[in-house]
Amino acid sequence: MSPAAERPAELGSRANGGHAVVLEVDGLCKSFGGLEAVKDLSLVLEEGQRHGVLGPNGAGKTTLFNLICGVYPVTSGRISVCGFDVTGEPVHIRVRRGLGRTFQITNLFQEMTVLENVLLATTAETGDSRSYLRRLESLPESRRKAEEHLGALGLADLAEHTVDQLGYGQQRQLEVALALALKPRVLLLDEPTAGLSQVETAAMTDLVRRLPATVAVVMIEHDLDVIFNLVDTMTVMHRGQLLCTGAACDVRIDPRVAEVYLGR
Amino acid sequence: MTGVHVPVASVRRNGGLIAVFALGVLAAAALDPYWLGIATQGLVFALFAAGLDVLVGWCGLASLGHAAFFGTSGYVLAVLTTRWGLDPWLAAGLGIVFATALAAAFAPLAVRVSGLTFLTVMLAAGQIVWGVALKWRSVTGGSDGIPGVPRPTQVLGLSFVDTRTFFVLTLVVVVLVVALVWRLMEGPLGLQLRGVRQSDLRLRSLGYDVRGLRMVAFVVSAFVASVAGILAAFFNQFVGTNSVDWRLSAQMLLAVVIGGPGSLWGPFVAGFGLFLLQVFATNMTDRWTLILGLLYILAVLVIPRGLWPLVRRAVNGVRPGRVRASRGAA
Amino acid sequence: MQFFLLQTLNGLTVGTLLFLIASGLSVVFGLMRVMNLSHGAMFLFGGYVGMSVQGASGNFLLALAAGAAAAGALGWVVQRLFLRTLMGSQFRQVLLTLGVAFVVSDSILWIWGGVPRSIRAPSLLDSSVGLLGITYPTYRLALIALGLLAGLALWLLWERSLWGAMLRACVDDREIAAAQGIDVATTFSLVFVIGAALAGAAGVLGGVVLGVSIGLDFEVLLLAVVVVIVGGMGSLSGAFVGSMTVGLLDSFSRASFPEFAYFTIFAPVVVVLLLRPRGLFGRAVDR
Repeated sequence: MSPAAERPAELGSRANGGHAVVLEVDGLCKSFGGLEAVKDLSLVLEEGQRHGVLGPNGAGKTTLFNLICGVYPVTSGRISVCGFDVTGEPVHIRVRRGLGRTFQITNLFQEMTVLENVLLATTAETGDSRSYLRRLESLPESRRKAEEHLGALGLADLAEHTVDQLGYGQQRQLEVALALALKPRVLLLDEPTAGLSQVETAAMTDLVRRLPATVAVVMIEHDLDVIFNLVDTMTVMHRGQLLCTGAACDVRIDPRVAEVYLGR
Repeated sequence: MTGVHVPVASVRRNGGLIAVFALGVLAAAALDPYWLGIATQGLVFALFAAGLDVLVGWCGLASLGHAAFFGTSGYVLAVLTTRWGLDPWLAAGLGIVFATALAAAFAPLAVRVSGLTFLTVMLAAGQIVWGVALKWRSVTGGSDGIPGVPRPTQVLGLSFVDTRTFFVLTLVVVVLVVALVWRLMEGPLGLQLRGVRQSDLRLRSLGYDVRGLRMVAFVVSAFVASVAGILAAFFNQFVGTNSVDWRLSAQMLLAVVIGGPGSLWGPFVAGFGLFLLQVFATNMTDRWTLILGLLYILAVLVIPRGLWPLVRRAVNGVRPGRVRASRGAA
Repeated sequence: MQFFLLQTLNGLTVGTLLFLIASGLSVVFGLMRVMNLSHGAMFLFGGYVGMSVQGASGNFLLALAAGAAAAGALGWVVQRLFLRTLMGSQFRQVLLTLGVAFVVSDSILWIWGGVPRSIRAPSLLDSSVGLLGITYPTYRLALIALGLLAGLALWLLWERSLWGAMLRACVDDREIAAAQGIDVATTFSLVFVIGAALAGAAGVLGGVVLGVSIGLDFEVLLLAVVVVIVGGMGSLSGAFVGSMTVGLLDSFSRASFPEFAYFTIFAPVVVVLLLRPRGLFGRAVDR
């Protein structure tokens, strides 16, 4: 399974500014029984864009992520990643189209070592994941890439430790490393600084800032100082609906937003 | 990386395979035919349990129906040799192919569910096969079974009618198949299956087709069971409904649980050991089923992760300062 | 026509027995997420105890009570064993019930031997009735009526009573139920015991129709499991519909193509799971 081979050379329609559109969400609705969790939400993301999603608890932010990734099926609406319509597709197909994601509650392979965790990602990226008859030790390229990713995060020393031996902050970083190792075009970060100390938050913020320019990032984040430093554009959600969207500085001073969220 | 690093797994794999082979050769030389026969059957069940571990220990899916594959291959072998006069080697190959194909056909359905539902679905599926074996008298002989299964024909002058030579054949086949399974589990597939068990959402989010992986584990474990079934059919020179009985599936699942899911050697040794226990117990009492049941209860209450982690801890405790490299146990 | 009527009545009889067994199995699963594989053994244990009590006393009702009580007591013992592993995985709990099934099954063989026995119907019902051209045992008709009554009673209990509401709360969300002050542990014990007692009663009631013999426990368990999977885990209505369906399927296929009897029962399981992994009436359960 090699994601690169399945992505088109041409990244779908080109929006204004000549940047390719990597994620397009159109009229997304999701109902759980009688409860409308997300209503008529639309979003367009360009290559390399840094976009924030804010809103009070229960606004539907994580539900939105789950819909984009395919964890929940949509009630109505369309989703396309890098020009491919993925609305009915299962999670793993969307990932192969270029979507990456971290989870709000850390979701790693607890009983495996840090290296093994990243290897799962790098073998997928290099295509080694299908070399069933070769031993893990003899997959040099995947291993090298895994070690590189760990090195970039400063986790190289912990390679042979199991995930459950890691501190929470390190686990959060590993989450990002896993998602990045697949070279996604769109990365969804679900509250990356949740539960982190000040120092760890600074490290995570730095990590996000240093993400490759080719990756579009959508971030759910509660820490306002963090998010306003990292994103160019922003969507504010309220009760499952889009309250306002646009450049960060404009959203920041929008009175509706202040009323619903910032003025808490 | 941190210097030269001898992978723990391959030492354990090679060491184990060599040990089994060496012990086997010793047994072949030293034991009398009765005990060789016991050892042969023990190896068969050890193999069955090891294959099941791929599904249970690595992939995390417990099945109570794998005797279906064990028995089906044996029945195909029996029918092809006794009714159609096919060469035993060819018939054996066809038996394995048929049983594995059956698994491959059923796998897409089976993996739509997991956990307890999967367990009970496999129980039901195993019973379908048992029911067919029991009722389809014209083909399977019903409750009488199919006697007169010939041993594999001579190879290089070696006659497999002899218990000793057949034991060696079994030993070689078992070692080869276990080596293959080890190879698979030490590569990307093993890692992916462990990922399926530990967090299938995470694995999907890395672009892996989890359902596809479950199917692979299902078919691999069925393949190994079918090989074991061929060996059993050859040894007994008979195939009956015992070979598709759910109690066999249950005993093999118990072997995995007692041995330690995800360790391969644990289930292997436990499969062998449980059979030995059964031989001893049935010589002394009629109550083997009762004993098996008590073993199940004990195993669940007292050694939830199986014996293998306990053995490892005892062994590793002798070597301090070793960074713990997890091998995906329960 | 006569054949049709006969097999339908036979099917409903089996369906009634299955419902008494499967309802306990299904509710226990819905509540505790445990597939109690020893349920068939409890059925048979109740049947054998009932048979012995009838042999000693000559009284059917006493035998029925004894069978239900014995199975209920066994259920209580097993549940206490569970409490220890309650915090453990579902998988281990199921394996434990498997072990119990083996132990009880073999103990039955040990105590009563392998000769098939049966229970005599109470003299009041020990007759036949002419019905639309066929003669049919009164006892079986009474059993069918009992099944419908039991179904109604259980449904009322489940949907309309306070206790049923408590149970449903526990099924929906254990933690919230506990937070509401419901004693979840005792509720579980009670449900488990009642389920076992129902199975034991079914063993006595069924002992007239099916007899009591070794191997019946597993056959019954399988059918009950099929009912629960097809009808949906944790659903009483599913258990009812499933039981009657399986009972009818079983009767007709045994009469029409005995060679494929097993296939006709279990193939629908496979089909249902292909279409609806949660069963016909089930709610999404932990996978």
